[in-house]
Amino acid sequence: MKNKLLSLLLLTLVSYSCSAQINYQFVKHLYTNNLVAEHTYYLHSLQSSVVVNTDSLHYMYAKLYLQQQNDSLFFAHYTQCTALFNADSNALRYSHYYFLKHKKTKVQQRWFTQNFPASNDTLSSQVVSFYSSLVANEPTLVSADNPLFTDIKKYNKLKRKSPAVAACLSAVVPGLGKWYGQRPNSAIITFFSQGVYAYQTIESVKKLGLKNGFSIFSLSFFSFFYLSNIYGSYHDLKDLKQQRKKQLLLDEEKYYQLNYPATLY
Amino acid sequence: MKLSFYILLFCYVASSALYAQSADSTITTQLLSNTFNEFTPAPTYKRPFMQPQTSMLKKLNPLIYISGGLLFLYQNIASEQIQATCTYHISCSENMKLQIKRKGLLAGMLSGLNQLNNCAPSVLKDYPAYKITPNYTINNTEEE
Repeated sequence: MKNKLLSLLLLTLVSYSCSAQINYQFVKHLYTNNLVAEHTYYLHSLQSSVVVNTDSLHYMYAKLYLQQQNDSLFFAHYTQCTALFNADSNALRYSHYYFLKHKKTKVQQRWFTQNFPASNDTLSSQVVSFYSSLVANEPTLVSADNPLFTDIKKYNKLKRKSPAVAACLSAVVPGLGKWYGQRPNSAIITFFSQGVYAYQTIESVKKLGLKNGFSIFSLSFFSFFYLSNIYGSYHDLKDLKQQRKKQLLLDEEKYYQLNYPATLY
Repeated sequence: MKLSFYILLFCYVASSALYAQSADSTITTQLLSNTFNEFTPAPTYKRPFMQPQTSMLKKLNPLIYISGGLLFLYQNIASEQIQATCTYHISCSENMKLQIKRKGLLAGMLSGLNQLNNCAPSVLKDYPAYKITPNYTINNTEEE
């Protein structure tokens, strides 16, 4: 009787441990062949078994939603299995690359402001420090052998420039603020077009007088474009900083993906 | 007199009966078309600053109607005549309408005029690569 009870207990324990195993190879097959519905169904079926709310299941879910680019669900599961996910250097690198090229800045910031633990994977720390330095007000420090060294140097120079100074320069000389804001082609076009409008306004005022309808029209036409030049210099510099930063992040992601590819499985 | 009246009455009844038989006017055909035809979304306002959700100040401001009217004339009449093309993905006039809706009349106009001032193919070199579409236009949609 005692033997029977012991064998029954042993059988129960063994069956529990067997049903608790996630078939990793099967999940990898589902991921590789992009069988999203089957993948989701398999993880849901695991949830209903004895394996409930454990790190492993949340880790699998986090990877699934990362593959599907479902950010909110990814974060929901990631917070439940942070240590396990961060220990997988391949998955961590994959997520870094994914968030580097993410369209929404807030989601990007949310990922990169996580407290990533120091790990043996120096590449992950490099990616995080690169992002942090780009976002911060200090110049981004990279080694000269980084292929994006020239672009980063240019971006560092752009970071120091002030939109207010650009607006003031444009007020003095139309187009100068855009030249200051690293948009030379726009500066040239603005300078010449404003020059033509100004010349035309001065000529009409000289010949027809200030109270003439055409002079008033020319003057208001020129003043609107002049004000738009000042407004544009201010906002274009602000926009250019964001655009250059985004381009650098995209280029960095391409560089890492080509040289240090990462997959989820 | 009575005969002519009855003839007229008959013609009226016959014509309305004939009209009722046409496929376009029966309620049944309308119901069938609503149920089985492809879904088409409700038409949107072409002039966003005239939507009912805008404030009373915007509705009473005559400058908004003047600017909207001028843009309408340019987009629907003038630009078709001169076959204008734009370096930007969203054309200058459309962009001005969007900016007026987002930022208000003055800031929107200045923003739109700034784009108009920069509308030349050489300006492409001032933008980063991800902003350039495959058609070599500048993607000037608002970024999040």
